[in-house]
Amino acid sequence: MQLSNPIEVFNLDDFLPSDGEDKFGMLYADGVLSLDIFYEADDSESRPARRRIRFLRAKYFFKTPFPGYSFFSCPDHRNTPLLNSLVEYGHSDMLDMEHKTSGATGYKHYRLFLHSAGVAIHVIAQSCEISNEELIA
Amino acid sequence: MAGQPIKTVNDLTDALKQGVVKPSQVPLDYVVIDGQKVISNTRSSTALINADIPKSQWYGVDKTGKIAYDDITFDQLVRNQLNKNYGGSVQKARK
Repeated sequence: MQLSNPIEVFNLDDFLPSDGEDKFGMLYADGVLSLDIFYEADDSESRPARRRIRFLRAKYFFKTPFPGYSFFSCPDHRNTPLLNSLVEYGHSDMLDMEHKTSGATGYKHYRLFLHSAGVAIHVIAQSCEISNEELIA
Repeated sequence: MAGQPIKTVNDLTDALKQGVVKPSQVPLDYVVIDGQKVISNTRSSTALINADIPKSQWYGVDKTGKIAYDDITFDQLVRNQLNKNYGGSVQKARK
């Protein structure tokens, strides 16, 4: 399925350390997909920290190994420095198919790569939001 | 260790030290940039280093020009990491 025109929602490098995330967790409940990203905070003690990305009214989500096989093809990835960002695609064949079959509108196709954990995550949802950093005792 | 999941670099280091995992079972993806081999999966190489495995026993896999995911090549992934952590310098990354 074709994707194009990725637009940065936010850059994970704004909070992840140079060696990336330590681990992640996903929970789906009440139509919300919560993605927890765990990492070492950028302070003198390198304390464990977490940020949560919440995808609201999530309809589909895919988690695949990264590197690995992808169901999607986005030629724009060859030229865009968005490999460390959560992006929203301007065009998604999947959204087109969803619209044709169910008439649903208002959904967006999001994607992020967690390089250190080795996963790619695609989410079809209506919106997303990211929490502030939370230090974990 | 046997039968235990390997989730972290330290887990892999311990498994290598104990011989539960052999270096030949830890493929190291690399690409050639400016004539130099640059490792893609650095966590694996960190475990090999921490386990004192000599480089002569490392199992490298040349991924130069190969697709890593979607339309993204391993070269792009490595250059992305070089830019992020080493100002794009292969020499700095190899130190």
